[in-house]
Amino acid sequence: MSIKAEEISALIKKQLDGYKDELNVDETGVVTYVGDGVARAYGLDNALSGELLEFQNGVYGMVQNLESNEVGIVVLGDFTGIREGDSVKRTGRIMEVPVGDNMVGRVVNSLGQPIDGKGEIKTDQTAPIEKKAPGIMQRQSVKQPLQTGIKSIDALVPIGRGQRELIIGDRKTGKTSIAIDTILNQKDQDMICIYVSIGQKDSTVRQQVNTLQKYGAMDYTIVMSAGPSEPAPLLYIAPYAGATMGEYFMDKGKDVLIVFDDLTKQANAYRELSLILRRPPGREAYPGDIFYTHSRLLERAAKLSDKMGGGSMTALPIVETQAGDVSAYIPTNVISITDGQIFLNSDMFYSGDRPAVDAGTSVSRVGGDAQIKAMKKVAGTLRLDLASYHELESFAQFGSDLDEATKAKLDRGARTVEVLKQPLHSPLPVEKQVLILYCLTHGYLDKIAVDDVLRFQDEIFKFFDASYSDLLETIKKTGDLPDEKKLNSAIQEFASTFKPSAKGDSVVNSN
Amino acid sequence: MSLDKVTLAKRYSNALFQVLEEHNELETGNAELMAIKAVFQNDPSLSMALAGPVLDLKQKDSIINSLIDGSTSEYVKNFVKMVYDYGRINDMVAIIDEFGKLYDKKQGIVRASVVTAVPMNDEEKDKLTQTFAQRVGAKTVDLSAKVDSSIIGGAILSSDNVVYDGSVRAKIKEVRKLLS
Repeated sequence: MSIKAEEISALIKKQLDGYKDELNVDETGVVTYVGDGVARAYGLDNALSGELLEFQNGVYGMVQNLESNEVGIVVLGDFTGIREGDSVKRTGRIMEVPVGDNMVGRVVNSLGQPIDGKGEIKTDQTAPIEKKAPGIMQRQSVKQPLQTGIKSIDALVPIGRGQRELIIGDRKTGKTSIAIDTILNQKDQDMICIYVSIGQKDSTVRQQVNTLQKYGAMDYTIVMSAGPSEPAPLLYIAPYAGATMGEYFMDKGKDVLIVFDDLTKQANAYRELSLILRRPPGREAYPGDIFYTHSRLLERAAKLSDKMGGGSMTALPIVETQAGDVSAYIPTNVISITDGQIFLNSDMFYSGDRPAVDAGTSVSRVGGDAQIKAMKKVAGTLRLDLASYHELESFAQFGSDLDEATKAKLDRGARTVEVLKQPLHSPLPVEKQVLILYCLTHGYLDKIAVDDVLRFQDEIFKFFDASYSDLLETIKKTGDLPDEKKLNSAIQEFASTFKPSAKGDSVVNSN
Repeated sequence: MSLDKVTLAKRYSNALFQVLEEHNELETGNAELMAIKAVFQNDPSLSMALAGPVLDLKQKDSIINSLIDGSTSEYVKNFVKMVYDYGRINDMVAIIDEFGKLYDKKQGIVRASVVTAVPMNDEEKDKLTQTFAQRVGAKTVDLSAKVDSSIIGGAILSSDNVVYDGSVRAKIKEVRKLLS
């Protein structure tokens, strides 16, 4: 390919058109302190809160504190190159990140710069990271379901589009896995997913990205990572930057799912900043505005009214607890902000009930309206079944004689727990969830040994796929149960051919 | 929490300024304070010695007295003594700086420093001073000039936390940004 000189000069000419020979007037200040991701500067009398500043060596900072003689600045980047006495100038802009369709499929840092080695992201649009959440008239109530593909969640704590559902639990109880599985299940759902990882080990994030790639989920996902080795300001702004990228799609009428993994670490980063900025510490040494930090972030998740395009942003914040203590400061805060929580129980996790969703303490305050009719019908009694099972379970361990009703309850409970188990990265479409839960609540599983339940499930799915896919299709299309006579006879047809495992003696196994 | 240096300097200088203004001693007072400031700045160990434990009180007193001997203004004398007695001698320079700002404001003086690539002649300086005085609305502009060849051409003028960058270096930078 030959390069033509005229073309190049024409190009340069075009670019230089924007150049104006103007005097640069900058307001500058002098750095008086720098350290731990924070700087203070004297001068800058007219700086605004949240304004972007540029240090002498090209690093940017954001104004956080306005004091009588100084401004407190969080440094967005490497602060080791900044020295006392350096000059710092106002830019007149507020912090922005790039947004656009080209962000999808990429791994970026909290400034929106690519970190996946796939080159520059071609987008010329930017949006401020702090934005006011949609107001009352711009919203409508949550009514469309967001299928996570996880039986225990879709049945017990349904999530609607535009909802904020907290995932909470101890370390290593599968919080991230639930979020990742939910992203995987959005394939072909015309949903944009954003996974914001805050303070997660880089190796773990790499693993998640690999998983997303393997299941083809990166085609509709943006991964934002602020690793533990980044300075605290970058961890603090990451969720806001992620929300801004999501809002771009929401404003275009699309559905967005955003995962904040996790807000505990963001709160810790903000605590660090605030203490270094000498803001007064409050409970657990968090600053006074830690509640507002999270509430203004999660308020940006919304279901927009039809006038606004009807887009939605569903937020799945994650919070880590210490030894199951949900009454610590950050967990209580975020529980009260969100529309419900999925509580993961470490005891259940270690005893093999995975995903370890604790049905008793998990709730969804608005998702019920978003659940499809068929699911409502089959899952209605599930929570009660589980509650009475757990109550009787400890009682029945004494092995005394049990009456028929109690025994039936125990059997049903054991099978319910078994049905709600689900392996990693294998989300189920809603019609299949309805099918197996229908079998459960209508007693078709009562005669099956507990160990056989999952095999029964797999086989009945295959059987329906092969012979009665029209019934599944009806559930999917109408959202309601098909003709129950047809459904019952199909299930009976399968049940009669199902062979129990050789181990036999199911009654002994079941308890 | 103890007061920070700037707040403290503002308070002392304000009081001093008001007293001098009332007694019409601003001119002389300002000149004397500038002289005292020069003494402190020329010898950084002076304020350290006055604030430190090495010298005994008599020795410190004699230093202070010799410092204000030449002063004609009673109020400047009192001021130096008071600052010393209150253990704020370390903040002396900052207080006088703040006083200077108040004085400049009253007299309509704006201080500015200019960096050019080649030395300016007097005519150029005058022109720059006049133009700048008009722009900021000052009676007089106190201009200090520096030469830095790395800015290639043009001039950078800075005054009161504002930088007016008309250098060739900044323009080239701008062009580079447009082309990248």
